[in-house]
Amino acid sequence: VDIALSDLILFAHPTCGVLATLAGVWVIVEALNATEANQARTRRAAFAVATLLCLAWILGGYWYVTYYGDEKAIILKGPWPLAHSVFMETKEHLFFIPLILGLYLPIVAARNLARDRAARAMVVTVAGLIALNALAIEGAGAIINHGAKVALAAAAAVAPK
Amino acid sequence: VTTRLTLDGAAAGFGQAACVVVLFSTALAWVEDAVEPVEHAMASLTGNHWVSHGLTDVVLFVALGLILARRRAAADGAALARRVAGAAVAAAIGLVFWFALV
Repeated sequence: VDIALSDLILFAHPTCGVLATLAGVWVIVEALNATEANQARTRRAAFAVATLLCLAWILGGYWYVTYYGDEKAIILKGPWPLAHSVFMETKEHLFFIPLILGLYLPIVAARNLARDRAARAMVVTVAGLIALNALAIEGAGAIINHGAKVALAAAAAVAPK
Repeated sequence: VTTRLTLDGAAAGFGQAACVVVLFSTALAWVEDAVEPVEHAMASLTGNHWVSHGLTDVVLFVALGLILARRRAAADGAALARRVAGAAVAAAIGLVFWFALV
């Protein structure tokens, strides 16, 4: 199987997003059951959220800057131009919300969550917002992918055989 | 076992910074989309306006967080969590409406 670097990056980007979402849910579970015993694990999970979101940002950003221009032109000529003009435009800016929250999560998770009710509430809130935002972003990514797919199918249908 | 209801130091400072930056990020997206010279100015910083936008958000979050954390002011934890949630939801709705309707 010959896999291009652009495809590897394209697949790694949402993979990091999904793993960050799962790690966010993991943080919520740990925080809701916070004891002295699971503090280190909660902090590791919060750090994993931040790291995975930064990786998703770097990988997605590199792909967006390097390869997306051609795909954008294809999508805009196809039957689903909204895949770019609404979903990509929203997604690329929406991403900064979970990124900032992801950078904040390890800071507040560093508190003693077993004793600090305020920090525990903040950790659950922030991790929940990250998971919800990330799910919306994954959905938008699927629509953008479909926009490119239907555009290519439409172009193939009118191309001379 | 003591139960703290306030946040202070880095947890409060960076929490307040997160509120400001997520709202700033959406406002910057609106301005970049509506005012072409601003988008060009952002693009001139790194070669791509979106890269500049993200880096601006992160630098602002770190700088503002450090400044606010040094003030060591305590914040009501539940109120700050509500503000973070409100800011994130408002910022997200602002982006969706802007790109879907404007």
